[in-house]
Amino acid sequence: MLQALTAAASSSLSYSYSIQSILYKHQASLLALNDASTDARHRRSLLIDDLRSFLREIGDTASREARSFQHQLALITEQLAQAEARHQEESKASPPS
Amino acid sequence: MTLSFVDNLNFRHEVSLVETQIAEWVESCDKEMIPELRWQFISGSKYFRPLTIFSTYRSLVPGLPIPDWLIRCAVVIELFHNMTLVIDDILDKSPERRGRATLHHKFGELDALMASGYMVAEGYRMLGTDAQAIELFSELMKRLGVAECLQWRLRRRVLGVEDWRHIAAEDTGSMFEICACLADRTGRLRTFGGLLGLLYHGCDDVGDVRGTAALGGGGVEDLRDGILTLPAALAIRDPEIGNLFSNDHPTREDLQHLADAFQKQLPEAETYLDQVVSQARKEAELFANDPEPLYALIAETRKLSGG
Repeated sequence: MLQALTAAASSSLSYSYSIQSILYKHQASLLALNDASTDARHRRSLLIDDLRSFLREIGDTASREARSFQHQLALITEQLAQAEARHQEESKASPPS
Repeated sequence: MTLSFVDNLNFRHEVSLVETQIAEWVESCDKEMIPELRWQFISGSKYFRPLTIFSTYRSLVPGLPIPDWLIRCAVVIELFHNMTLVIDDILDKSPERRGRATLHHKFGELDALMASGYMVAEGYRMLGTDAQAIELFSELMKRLGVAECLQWRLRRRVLGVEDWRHIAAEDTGSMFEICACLADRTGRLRTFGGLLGLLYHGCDDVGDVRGTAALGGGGVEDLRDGILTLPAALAIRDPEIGNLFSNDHPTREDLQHLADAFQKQLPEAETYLDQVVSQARKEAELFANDPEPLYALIAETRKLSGG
């Protein structure tokens, strides 16, 4: 369970860090949302494209982190099952006297 | 087969098997179809899709040889890939591909269309009872069909990089996604495959623009047809270039002006592709047992832009 908790904490930290990086990368566009001077066509299309990229990256990151956490839990589950199988085999090999 | 990346990725033997099986299959086909199939398959593929299948498998099961059933999947993906090439060439009215006459140019459109259908039918037959592979190839056929219609419908439209990404992900991306899933039946490297396909598509776009400097390179058809490539998506953010791009009847000067504008976007396009590389490496790092074969595949794909 300690391994599972460590994986959960690590996944949570990794997710927070990734979201911060995305916010940092797109902060200029996010700030420009409230800027009235962004009506020039060129700047507006740049802004829209960047905001779409921002939203996709947020979604991609959430999905990747969830899949990664799920993968780590699957590995831990597999280890647990293998350890239990070994334990049962050892018990059979040396019955209590 | 003398392609250096096949050796770099350490799959010479497996690619030879794919080549041999395709050659044997061609000779076993109906004699009416053999000349067309010989012509189509003699031109020499880059075998990037089989290499994606093999690299994915090796990243999950390091040290084991590539099994026969996976070689068969690689043969089938080449058949499906060639079907898309034939259709693309008809659609683009391309007289040549890799320095040789295209299938429709040499044998006519009817023969080319029938040969493309024949390849797909044979591909499904080869899969036999591999139900999961049949399901994956069916998904691929549907997505490729939708992507081709979407790309054609959206030509000459002033759209953004995110639109390019969506089209590329469904077009080339879906093919590489399926390659990854054929080798990794759990699907955990599906996103990796999609990103690799996106990278391949983007590098191809950039490489084509490098070749169109004097309107003689491989991207001339895309330019003429107003296809949304990565450099185009970056360049048309400038309203003047956007107006030229959306013109239904561009003059030769217009096309040269567009080619120059796309050329100017190459550094930004390369930066964008580097970001896709990072995303693909991250997927490999998180989901492969040994990501090294996938890192090598990404590196070889990245070289295709010629930058």
